Amino acid sequence: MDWKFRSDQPIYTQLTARLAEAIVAGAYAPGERLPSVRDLAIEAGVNPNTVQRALADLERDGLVYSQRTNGRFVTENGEMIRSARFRMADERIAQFLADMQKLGCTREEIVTLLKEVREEEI
Amino acid sequence: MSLLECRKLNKNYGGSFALNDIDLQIEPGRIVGLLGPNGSGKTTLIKLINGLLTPTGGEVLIDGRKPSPETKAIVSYLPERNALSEWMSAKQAMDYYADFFEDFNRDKAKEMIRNLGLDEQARIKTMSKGTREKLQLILVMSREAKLYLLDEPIGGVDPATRDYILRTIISNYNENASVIISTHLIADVEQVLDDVIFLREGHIELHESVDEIRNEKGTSVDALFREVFRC
Amino acid sequence: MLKKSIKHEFRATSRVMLPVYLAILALSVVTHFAQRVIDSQNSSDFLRTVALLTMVIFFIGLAAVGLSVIALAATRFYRSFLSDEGYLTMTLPVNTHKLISSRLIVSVVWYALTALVCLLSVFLMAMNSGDWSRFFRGFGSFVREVWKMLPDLETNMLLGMILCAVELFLCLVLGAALASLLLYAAMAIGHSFNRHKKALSVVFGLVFYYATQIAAVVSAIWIIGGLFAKYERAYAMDYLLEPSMTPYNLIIGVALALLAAACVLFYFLTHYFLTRKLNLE
Repeated sequence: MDWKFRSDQPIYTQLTARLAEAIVAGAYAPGERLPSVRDLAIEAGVNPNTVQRALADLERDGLVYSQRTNGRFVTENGEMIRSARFRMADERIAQFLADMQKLGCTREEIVTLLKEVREEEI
Repeated sequence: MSLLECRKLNKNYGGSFALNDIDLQIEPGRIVGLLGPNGSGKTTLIKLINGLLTPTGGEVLIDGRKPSPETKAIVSYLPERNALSEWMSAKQAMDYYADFFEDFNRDKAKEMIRNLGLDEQARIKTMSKGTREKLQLILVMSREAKLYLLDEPIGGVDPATRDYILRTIISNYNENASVIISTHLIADVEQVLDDVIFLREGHIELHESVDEIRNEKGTSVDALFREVFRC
Repeated sequence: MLKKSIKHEFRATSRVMLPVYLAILALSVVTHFAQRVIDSQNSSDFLRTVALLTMVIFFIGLAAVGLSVIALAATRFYRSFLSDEGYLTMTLPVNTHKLISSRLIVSVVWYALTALVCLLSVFLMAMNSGDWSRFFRGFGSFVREVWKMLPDLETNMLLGMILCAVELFLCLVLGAALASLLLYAAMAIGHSFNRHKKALSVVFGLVFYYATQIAAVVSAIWIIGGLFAKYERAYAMDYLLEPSMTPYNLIIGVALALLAAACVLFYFLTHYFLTRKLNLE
């Protein structure tokens, strides 16, 4: 994983987003045990308390659950992961649409462009 | 109880204040950046905490006690200069640390010496400035202390070593110990910090968590520092 | 922690002193043979010159050894506390009294060893095999004589003599300690300033040295002129009837007390400036 952080947001929010991405993309499989706080902190080169905070956020959102002694695991609830995936996709689509509007593209043009891309690249 | 507490701490050298009414508390389990331009009092504050200087007024308490042999046993200090005897080899320097500091973990030191490619038998006299700094940092971080005072730990080392040092600080983290890092290379350490303290002309300009600063000001600590201390 | 400090201090100093001792002992053996060359009838002029030169070098070496042990005491103190190493020494979990005493004790031990080694090297240089056996025989008969005399001595006299010996020994120890402490105090004070640290250390060293010398002369005049005369008179009559060491014990005791006072003064100064006025760069 790439661990570059932007400077205008708290690191823990960026870390939360990055870990959520990894979970919905399947880099961490459902039910898989996550690395320990220390290992994650070392890997990302960030403060352990920051990692703790990011994991607590993920736990609150239901993507991660903790077992008292064994550490933290990715949820086994597929529906939860799917809905997180769509929620994150929606956010990006909204961002994408906003960018396209800035370029002056109409709704129809955007749809046409997307269809062309799909044929060429996917 | 705070791990470190300064109450109305004052230090003056020959009439001029180096530190002026510092009130400060640091809890266990924090990694704190001590930031400020040259001459702002960073080193003076660190020297007061480890007992190299005596306060003119007020007091410093480490784990509830004034600086003394008992507090020195739980404070691991990395000075800005090479404080190891030049005639010693890295191994002899380890012997020295092991003899005087009960919390010194020799295995940890040996592992770091291997990882950073140092030679245990080499004499410090023959080492480059960068290698000496590495060795000193290894010895300091191999103690299982409660308070680490690191004065400019990443000043003179190459980027790869800087990374290794920061990772060492992270992997060494435990919730009962705190680390104070004095530095002017803010951008490099920002990610590993919980809190930052800005010192200016002997007083605390700001003591805030890094997340709060980014949240409220929407800017990195590095950028904020440049703004606060703009010439 | 005092033991550990002493151990490390020996480790740091023996690497300097042991080679110095080896060198002077080796030089004394060489000089011993040089002397034979000089004594011998059939040595060439060239050999004689070389031999003479060797003798000169030996005596210069002897002086250098004496100086080196004092220089070592000074540099060890400077390095440990006032140079960059002070950042580590003064943050060890050891109180400053133990840190200073370890340096002091080790320096005094080296003074004593150096005196012995210098004595030994002069013996090695000067004595032939015949001289050695004569020396030991002479020494043996001296001990026997003293041993024979012992039963005839009054108990008080004997105790007085033993006390006298102990006092003289302590005088030597304190005198040696004073030499180190004077240097320590001068450096500790000199380095508490922001500038000209080394020059000021030298100035304080000279001031302390001359002050001590003057104090020694003044107290010697006082002891010999006042105390000694007084006791001489008081005991002169009794002495014939009942010989006693008491006046000598008292007089050396006073000297000892003065020496001790000087040591305490310089020790206090050193400790105060190291703990309260430490000014590392």
